[in-house]
Amino acid sequence: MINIPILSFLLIFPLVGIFVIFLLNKKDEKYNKKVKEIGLWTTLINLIFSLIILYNFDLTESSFQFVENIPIIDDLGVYYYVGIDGISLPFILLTTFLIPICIISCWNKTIKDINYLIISFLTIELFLIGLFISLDLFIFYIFFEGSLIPMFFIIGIWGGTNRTYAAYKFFLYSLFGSMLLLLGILTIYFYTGTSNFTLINKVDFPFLLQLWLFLSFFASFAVKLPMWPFHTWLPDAHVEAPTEGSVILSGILLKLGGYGFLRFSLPLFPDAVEFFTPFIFFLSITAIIYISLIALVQTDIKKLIAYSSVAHMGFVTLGIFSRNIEGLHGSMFQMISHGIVSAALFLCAGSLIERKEKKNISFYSGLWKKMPFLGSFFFIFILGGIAFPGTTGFIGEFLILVGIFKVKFYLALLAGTGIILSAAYFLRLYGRIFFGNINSNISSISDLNNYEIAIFSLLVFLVILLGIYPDLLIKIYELPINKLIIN
Amino acid sequence: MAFIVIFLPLFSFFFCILFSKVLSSKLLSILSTIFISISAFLSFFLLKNIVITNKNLSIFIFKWLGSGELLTNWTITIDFLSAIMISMVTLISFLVQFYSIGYMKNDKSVAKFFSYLSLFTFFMIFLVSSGNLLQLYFGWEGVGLCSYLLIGFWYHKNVAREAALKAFIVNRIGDLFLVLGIILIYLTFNSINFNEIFLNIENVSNQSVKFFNLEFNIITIICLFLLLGAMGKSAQLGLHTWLPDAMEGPTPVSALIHAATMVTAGVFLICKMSIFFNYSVVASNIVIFIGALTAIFAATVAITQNDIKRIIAYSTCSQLGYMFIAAGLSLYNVAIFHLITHAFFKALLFLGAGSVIHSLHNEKDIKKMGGLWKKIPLTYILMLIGSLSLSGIPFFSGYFSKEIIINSSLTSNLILSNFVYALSIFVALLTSIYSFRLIIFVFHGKAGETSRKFPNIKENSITMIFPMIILSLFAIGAGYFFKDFFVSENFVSLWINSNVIIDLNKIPHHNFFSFHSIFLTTLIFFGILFSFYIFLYNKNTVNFLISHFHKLYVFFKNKWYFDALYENLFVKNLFKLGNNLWVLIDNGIIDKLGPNGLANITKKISRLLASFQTGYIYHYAFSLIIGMALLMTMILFFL
Amino acid sequence: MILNDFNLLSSEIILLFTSLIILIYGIFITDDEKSIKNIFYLTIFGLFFSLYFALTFDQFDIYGFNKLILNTHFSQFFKVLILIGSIIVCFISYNYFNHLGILKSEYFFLILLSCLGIIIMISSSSILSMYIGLELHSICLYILAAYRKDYLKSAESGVKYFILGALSSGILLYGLSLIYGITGATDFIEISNKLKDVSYVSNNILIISTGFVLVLSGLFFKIAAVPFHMWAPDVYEGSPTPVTAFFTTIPKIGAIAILIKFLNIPFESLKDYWIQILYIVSIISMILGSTVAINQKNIKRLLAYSSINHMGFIILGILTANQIGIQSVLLYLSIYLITILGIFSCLLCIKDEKNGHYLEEINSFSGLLKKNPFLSFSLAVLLISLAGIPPMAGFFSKLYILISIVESKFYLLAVIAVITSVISAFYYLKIIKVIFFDTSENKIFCEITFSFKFFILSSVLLTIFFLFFASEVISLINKYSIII
Repeated sequence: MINIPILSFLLIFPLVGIFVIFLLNKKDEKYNKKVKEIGLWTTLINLIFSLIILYNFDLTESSFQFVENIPIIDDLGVYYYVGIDGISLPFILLTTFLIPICIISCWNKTIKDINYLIISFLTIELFLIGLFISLDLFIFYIFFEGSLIPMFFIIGIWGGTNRTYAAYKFFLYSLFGSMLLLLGILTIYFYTGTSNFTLINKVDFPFLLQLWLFLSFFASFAVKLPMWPFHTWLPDAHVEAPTEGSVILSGILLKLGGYGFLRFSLPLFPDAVEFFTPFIFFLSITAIIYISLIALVQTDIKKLIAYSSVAHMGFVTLGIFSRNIEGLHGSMFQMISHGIVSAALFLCAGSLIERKEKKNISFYSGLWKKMPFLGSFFFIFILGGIAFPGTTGFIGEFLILVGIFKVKFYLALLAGTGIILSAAYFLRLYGRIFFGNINSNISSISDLNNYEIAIFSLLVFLVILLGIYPDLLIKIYELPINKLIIN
Repeated sequence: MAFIVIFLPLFSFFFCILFSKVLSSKLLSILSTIFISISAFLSFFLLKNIVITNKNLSIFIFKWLGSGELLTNWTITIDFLSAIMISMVTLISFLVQFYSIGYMKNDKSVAKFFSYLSLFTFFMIFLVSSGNLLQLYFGWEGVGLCSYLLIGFWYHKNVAREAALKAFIVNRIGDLFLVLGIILIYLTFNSINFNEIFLNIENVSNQSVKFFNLEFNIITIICLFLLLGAMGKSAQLGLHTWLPDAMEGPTPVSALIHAATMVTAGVFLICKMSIFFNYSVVASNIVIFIGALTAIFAATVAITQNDIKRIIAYSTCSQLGYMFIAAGLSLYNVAIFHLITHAFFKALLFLGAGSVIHSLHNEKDIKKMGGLWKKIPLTYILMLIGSLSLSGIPFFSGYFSKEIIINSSLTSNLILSNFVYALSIFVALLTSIYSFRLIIFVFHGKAGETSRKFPNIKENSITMIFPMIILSLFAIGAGYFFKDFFVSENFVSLWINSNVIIDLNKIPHHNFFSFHSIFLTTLIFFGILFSFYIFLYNKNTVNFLISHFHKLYVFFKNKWYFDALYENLFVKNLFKLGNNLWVLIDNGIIDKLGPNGLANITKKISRLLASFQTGYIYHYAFSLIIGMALLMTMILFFL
Repeated sequence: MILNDFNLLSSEIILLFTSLIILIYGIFITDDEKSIKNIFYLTIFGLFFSLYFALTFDQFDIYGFNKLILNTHFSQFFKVLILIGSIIVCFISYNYFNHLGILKSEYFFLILLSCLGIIIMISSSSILSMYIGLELHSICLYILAAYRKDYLKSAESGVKYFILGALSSGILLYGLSLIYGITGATDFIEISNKLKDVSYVSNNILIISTGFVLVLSGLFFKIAAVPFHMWAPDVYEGSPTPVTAFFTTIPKIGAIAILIKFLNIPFESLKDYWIQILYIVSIISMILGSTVAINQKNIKRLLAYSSINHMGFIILGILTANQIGIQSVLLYLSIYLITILGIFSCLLCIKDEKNGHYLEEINSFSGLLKKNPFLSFSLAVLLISLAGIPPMAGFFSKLYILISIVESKFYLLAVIAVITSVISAFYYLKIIKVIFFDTSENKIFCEITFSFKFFILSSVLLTIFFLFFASEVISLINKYSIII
């Protein structure tokens, strides 16, 4: 264990990057390129540091590691109290992995105000990492809500035609949820007299209070996740957001909800969780079936993928609230794998849309002839999406099914229909875009460039690797998750 | 060695993919054929070793999934059963690839085709050689995937696209139940490795489980789940609709995947889990019932079809029915026997059909063919052999397996046994009729329009004929030479070693002159002659029959209305439902009442309140006074 | 002894003298550029001087001028706040009036005088001095509101403000006289002693409560809490922008200070009553302030409503009637002051390219991002801070208020506060949206002098990095939040 504040470095580097970008001279004709380079390097350094953390991470230790504890507001007893365990580490890795990919993916595109885009990326990375490492409720909240701002700008500035509406919907919806979360946090603070997570974890709350607190936390996590019926912001946000925005949104931001449930709701309010489980199950099953059916009839590529991620998140909640080893492992895995797969799918959709500026499926047909590379990558990611064994998607959903089967048979059956439907809408999407007779729209379309090929092969590698050797991931979070079950 | 056998096809897949741009497609196809031939060759040694040493071979590759008590490894476990399957699979896929060199030579993306075939072979071998259910499921899905890719191989055809999608989805339905079965097994045994669950089965054999507040025997439930999975893959009644459509794929694919190997995976599964099925009488009966229904259904439909490939597809369906019957009668070894023989002659038939189609420039309608036997005699003979073997003429391979199944259904002591016997006899009759209907329409009679259109129809290249000859040899001899493997005491231990229930007493001792054998044989001969009579010499009989049993004819012609039913009942409604959910509930209710609704309400309120801001001083003053008065009254009120 | 009294009032006296000097100087000189500049410097000097005295003042809790004046830490804090605010306002108003060509010596005189009035009001310890201070600064404000005589709206706002203001101070005065009549005391402490006697109160509760409510209404009018807010939007919109900046901050801070003092010293025995009143007032202020602002087109008007909403929040802090509540109010006010003045200094840099008018329509800000990223980002940061979204300073002020009310278990209030702040986030975002998202390029011309850059940058940095010195600020505030 090394005793330099390595976690804080993860926060400092993006900050430094932002400042450097501010200091750059705008008149310089290579300004944009420089900005991108700075962004890429900062994020890569962060990636390397997170890998170093992973390397130094003690897998046999279920409590928090790399802990730093510095007082900020003495009067409130708020500390800059950070540390990671097996639950947060995968998310940090996911973040530090996806952000550079986003930057690479906009490498040789001509985007207006690229400098601001890069700044937003760095800011959001800063906030997300901060959120995953913070163990003080107030600090967590600050990062949690702060992460809205850059996303708001990403959707609003670089979004599509209806971007303002989408941005507002996203921002206000999440803001409302997180405000209620804030009230919950305050109540906890006054009940326990501290905002330190490890101390709060020792307290057990009276049942009634638990119910209220659970609801207040639920309000924000359910919106983030998103659970049915709080999902309506997601399709709009995704459709309007630029590709990279969608990648971050579905890759990481959606996971905050699940992370919140795992980190806070489950350990802090066990009785309330017990009490609300049927309700959550109902919502999740609805999400899976209802949303899959909706995804079946979508005419817009990004909307379809967006809805599909709602359905997949339904699996996550099922797994979490089944509260047994397989279920929790499954949902943890599902979150990470969905983070990779959906990001990849959105990148694919993006590289298709950016070529033709058209989002509706019917516009494309028989694309395989023109873009075999994209076709093959897209297909592999879709396999991940439909939980094909040997890809990451399968591990998560299978484990979740096991977990939920333990609880109730028919829930597993219903969730299973979701798997069938996912195959239906994804393969239908694929068939309609890549198969069928070639139409004139795509006569002059070029296949992937090297940047895209590089990114996609990396992602494919991950999808397959984690699919056939999931232990790489499971080992990281095994202990803390098991600890969750024990108490 | 086993390693090479299994991973050579995978290697060949990557090889074809990676070098598709570099090497010429011809070379690639030959290379991948060579790869497969090697693994086929080695697989025979594998089989030989197993037979001699009678030891199961098990290789641990690496850990796959470990969570809680669920622990799965990537393993290769080869016992007698899987060895047989492997050699069959590799052999046939070798022959098919060989055939495809000729068949696909004019296609643009040959490399892709061969890579897919190799991948399929890999998945199939992986399936049969897995040591736990999850890996089996991996192979199971894998072959489904390859079938999807290969059905949709000619992606520019919309029909192909739809067929591929249909195949995958229908299979998925079965697969879901397979997964649930696996999970249930895991929850019951805390393991999904075959050895452990087979060991512990006594302990749980009379446990019961509650579904929807009803008590069931757990083994029965598991078996039913597995059965549903098997039905999906093996195209049994209900989940069969994808198989005929799958014929949109290239013909070699139909020969390999949709006749010989993949569709038999279901039968393989049941035989693999024979111990389970043996424990549950209910499940076995259901298996028989399904099998019998499928057999009769497919046979009746096959008689009325005109698409050469679809006819053979339906006949595959009904033969699979036979296999299910055998499995249901817990003659698992016999089921496998029929599986093997069927693989040969059905592959033969498909390849024959392929070469017919190829020489008629993709004509599939048998009504438009005819009188071809003079032009392509070799193909004619080969297909004749196939048909004879299919309809079970003595000494052809089909005869042995089928005869055992039919007769032992008589001797078994099941409630349904007589019904099943009658049914299977009748199906045998129908089989002979439809297979010769095909022969007659294609090769005899006067030339149909297409036959006339292309005057210079000639025999196909040797690359296509050679594999058919090999297959025909098997189709003739396989039954007689291999039957000891399946039904003689000498090899019982092998079966027991590979955890397959085998009970030779159930199998009536076979002799050609027993009443039932003779009866069956005569019946089949009668069928052949009958079809010659009505389809060749006296066409009016057909018309007479059709007009007489018109309703029945239409019923058969429309495949018992299964597809129409599904289309109208599920598919359409699902889409309608989805659309309604989206438009009405998601955008209609949730959005209107949710975010947008609140936003609008706030806007309304703000307009209302803003309207007080008139700009007149006296209004302002008034509100000031009013406010004061209100506060005053409040205070007084609180007194 | 009398000297000692003057010593207590040092900063006030300095202000007074500076203003008088300016007045006289203004009579003798012609309003040419140079002399105005001198006056400007003089004003700044005077303000800084009195700020210096206010900061170095150390004789606390000594009555002066036979109990008219009482300097406490509390009042000192507010003094400093107000003086700083006025300095900034003076700086940012110079260019504006210069550009309009109506920069006269009166302006600074009025500013100084109103500043003086407010300070007196704050440090008053009797209803007399309180009323004097209040009137002094209100009269100056009436004139300031109408300062752009040539501009119709300005004149209108002046008149409105004057009439309503007069009415309200009349009410206030009447209330005070009633209180004096019943208690026979002008000094806060004595009044509170009188009111501590329960039987006495219950006997003539009617008069006491009447007077009390009248006074409260007068103060509410000053801070523009609903339903006494009607004047605010019109006056804010009409009066010249720097004056609006002054209105939104300085007098309100003063009024809040005296409100707290008035409620907690003479009337703290009537807690149960005024808590109820504040409860209602805060709720309706928050709701009205947040909702009505949505439809506003003019940014000054919008800010008027947003300030109503903020006042609602502050009243929340007051009605908890405990230490942490007061602390939260002080914190809120300081951050509010910084943010609002920052925003106004941004607005005072943005002109229309064609006719050189200062832009006030929200939609006319589109394309600012292209023109001047610095201003756009500063505005974004400050507005987000006003919306109370972390990690900006505004979040912490809101957080503290919420903490105080959750601690004293006003959960309903907390929920309403949360909802309204979500609603108010909407219109702050609307401005950001216009600046950042709208593609239509508007002809904008920005000039940023050094002082502006300095103020804007400092306020932005303070807002962003508040988290890092929050601890110090709060401990400081703890020290100064003792009322008596």
